[in-house]
Amino acid sequence: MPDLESYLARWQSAGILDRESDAGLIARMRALETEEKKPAGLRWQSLVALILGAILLACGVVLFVSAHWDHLSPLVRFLLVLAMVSFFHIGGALSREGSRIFSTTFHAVGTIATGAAIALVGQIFNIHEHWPSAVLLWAIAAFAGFVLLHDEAQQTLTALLFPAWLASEIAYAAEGHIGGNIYFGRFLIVWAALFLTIFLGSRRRTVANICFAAAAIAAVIGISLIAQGWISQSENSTFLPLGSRIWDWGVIAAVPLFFTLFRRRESLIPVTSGIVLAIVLPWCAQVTTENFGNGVRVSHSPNAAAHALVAACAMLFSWWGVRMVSRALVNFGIVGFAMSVVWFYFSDVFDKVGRSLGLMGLGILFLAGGWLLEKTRRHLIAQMLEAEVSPQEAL
Amino acid sequence: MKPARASMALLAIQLALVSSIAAKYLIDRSRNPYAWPPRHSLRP
Repeated sequence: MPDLESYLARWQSAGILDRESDAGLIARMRALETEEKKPAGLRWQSLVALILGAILLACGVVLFVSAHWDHLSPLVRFLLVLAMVSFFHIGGALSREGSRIFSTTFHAVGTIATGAAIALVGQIFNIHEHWPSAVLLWAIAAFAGFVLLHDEAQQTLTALLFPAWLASEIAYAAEGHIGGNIYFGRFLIVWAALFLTIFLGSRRRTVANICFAAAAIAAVIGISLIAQGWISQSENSTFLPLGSRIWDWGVIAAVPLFFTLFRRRESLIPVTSGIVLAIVLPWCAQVTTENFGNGVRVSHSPNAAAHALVAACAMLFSWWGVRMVSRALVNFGIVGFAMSVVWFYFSDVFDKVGRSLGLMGLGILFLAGGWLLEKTRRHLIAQMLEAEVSPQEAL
Repeated sequence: MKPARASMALLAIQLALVSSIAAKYLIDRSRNPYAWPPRHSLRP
């Protein structure tokens, strides 16, 4: 990289700078250059060493405590757990003035440690209670962090832990009943639709990005859970009682709609489409019955309508991404569409043709489909950018 | 609220939440000393 002297010579020859009249400016630039050449306080090598050191230290402490855990009395265990939570938050309090980022990290780890502490105290005292309440306690702890500190880390934890509590309640109520997986999958799909769109355009980028990533993963898990069909754990399993179903639908559909109407009305279409998908998808299944020995095995597999519905929903999210000028949502829709096509190919086509033909078809699908999707994606993003520019031009 | 005070308030709230589980255990024991789990089961 050329140094300041070569730039000064170039500017002087071009007539931009005069060494005599701009002496003050040149002196200031030289001082800045000297400052820049000084070694920085924290280079990446030392940062990696710090992170590695912290992880190794934490691993050593965890190993030491776990090796002696059985020999400790309940009171000592309890005090150790409290000390763990206190350590991180006191660290956060001490570094609050000096380094905001260290403090935020300490507090975030402290709130995560609170979740571990809740589980450990439950285990220390053999609490055999309604376990989703533990997740609620953790969510309240994160919410307190958000209210007091206004950190993005605490907000992210709050945004993820309250739905996690609701999901735990659904899983608890559906345990042992036919189609427990369906209700859990429905919850994941609708809440994923909410989280994919509700933070679009938010200035809190960390919260928005983490929630978006969590929602994308939840959507895939939700669809795969529903694709398993109406599973029963035993011969005596029953469908969910009416009361539980009403509560579940309240959590699955009414709460996201409430959020949409009062916080961000633009999310109404994606959330409604998520609800429609959650209602219809479990019924788009092919039921096959096999007799074996003295029993009957009933299996469910998604039919063509299920694949079409998922693909249509993915395209709807892409279109919504164009409307909301969100590149992430457009990409999510395109990837979702590609995944639904590959899923259809593997479940409905691959088994019906020979192995070599199946692989050739898969290769062609990837090549042609990949090219077509990339072309569509670029077209959508260009369209989106045009739409973003045109209102500015009109001004 | 000052930043350090907010941090300490958060610590107090989270410790109270964690301790509430132990408090529940103690309340349950005082109401019914013979309830499951027996006290000795806490010590492996």
